[in-house]
Amino acid sequence: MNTPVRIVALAALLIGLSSCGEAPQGERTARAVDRPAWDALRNGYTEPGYPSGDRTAWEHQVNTRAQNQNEYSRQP
Amino acid sequence: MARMKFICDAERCIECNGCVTACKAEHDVPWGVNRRRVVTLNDGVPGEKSISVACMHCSDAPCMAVCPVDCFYRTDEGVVLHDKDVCIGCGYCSYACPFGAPQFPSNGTFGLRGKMDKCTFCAGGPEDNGSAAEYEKYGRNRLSEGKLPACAEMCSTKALLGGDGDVVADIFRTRVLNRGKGSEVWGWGTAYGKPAEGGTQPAATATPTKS
Repeated sequence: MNTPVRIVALAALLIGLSSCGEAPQGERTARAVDRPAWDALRNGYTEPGYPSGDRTAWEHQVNTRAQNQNEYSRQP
Repeated sequence: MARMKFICDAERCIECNGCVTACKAEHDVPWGVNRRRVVTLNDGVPGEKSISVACMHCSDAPCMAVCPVDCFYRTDEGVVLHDKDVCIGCGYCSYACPFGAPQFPSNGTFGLRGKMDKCTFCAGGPEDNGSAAEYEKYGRNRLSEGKLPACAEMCSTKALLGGDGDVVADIFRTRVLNRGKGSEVWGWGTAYGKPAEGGTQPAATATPTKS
């Protein structure tokens, strides 16, 4: 096999192999059902003192935290 | 609980791109994808304004209306999310969105356009909250951790406000009353101006006004 043919064959092989890195697609066609934000998994990043799994506590936590964006409420 | 919303205060944004960086770092956003961008109007001209733009999680989201595979959904908190396992990367949402929010990574074989990626209001996706699968596809789920979007929380001038629509509107209203100008909220009418679902009151009534 001469050199140009070998190079073309090698390039074709490399291009073909690159498709092996593609993630599988089309596994699911129906949209999954999400869990509500307050129904959290307890992981290491959850805000300390916030009782995960309680909707009212979650709303209070988020609204309290939103006040950190209000510098007028921080003024003496 | 009202709906989660963003407000960008053009009077305060200093175009530092901190929100863009925070978003990319928090979610390990792929190279070439910017869920949030800072746009400057009349750049270099005295009186120029900068605004931080991302998905506004619209009341009547046009992306949801045009998606051929119905991959979008709205959470109880009004956050518009999508399922990447259903998305086919067609790009229709990109044409429909008035904010240019949908982004498409082009790192697949032969530069193929990948599945759509956009701001999630730091609420992840349909996978289990806080799971590794969710993080890999959508980034961190800060809302379920009891936090607010990283872009808004770390904004140095507090130009970008994020959270419950009523709460952030109140914060902005207080600010406008104190400074006496700059009541215009860019993108608010486009995103939330239509009547809310099931309601008769237009969402735009929450728009802070200068008195």
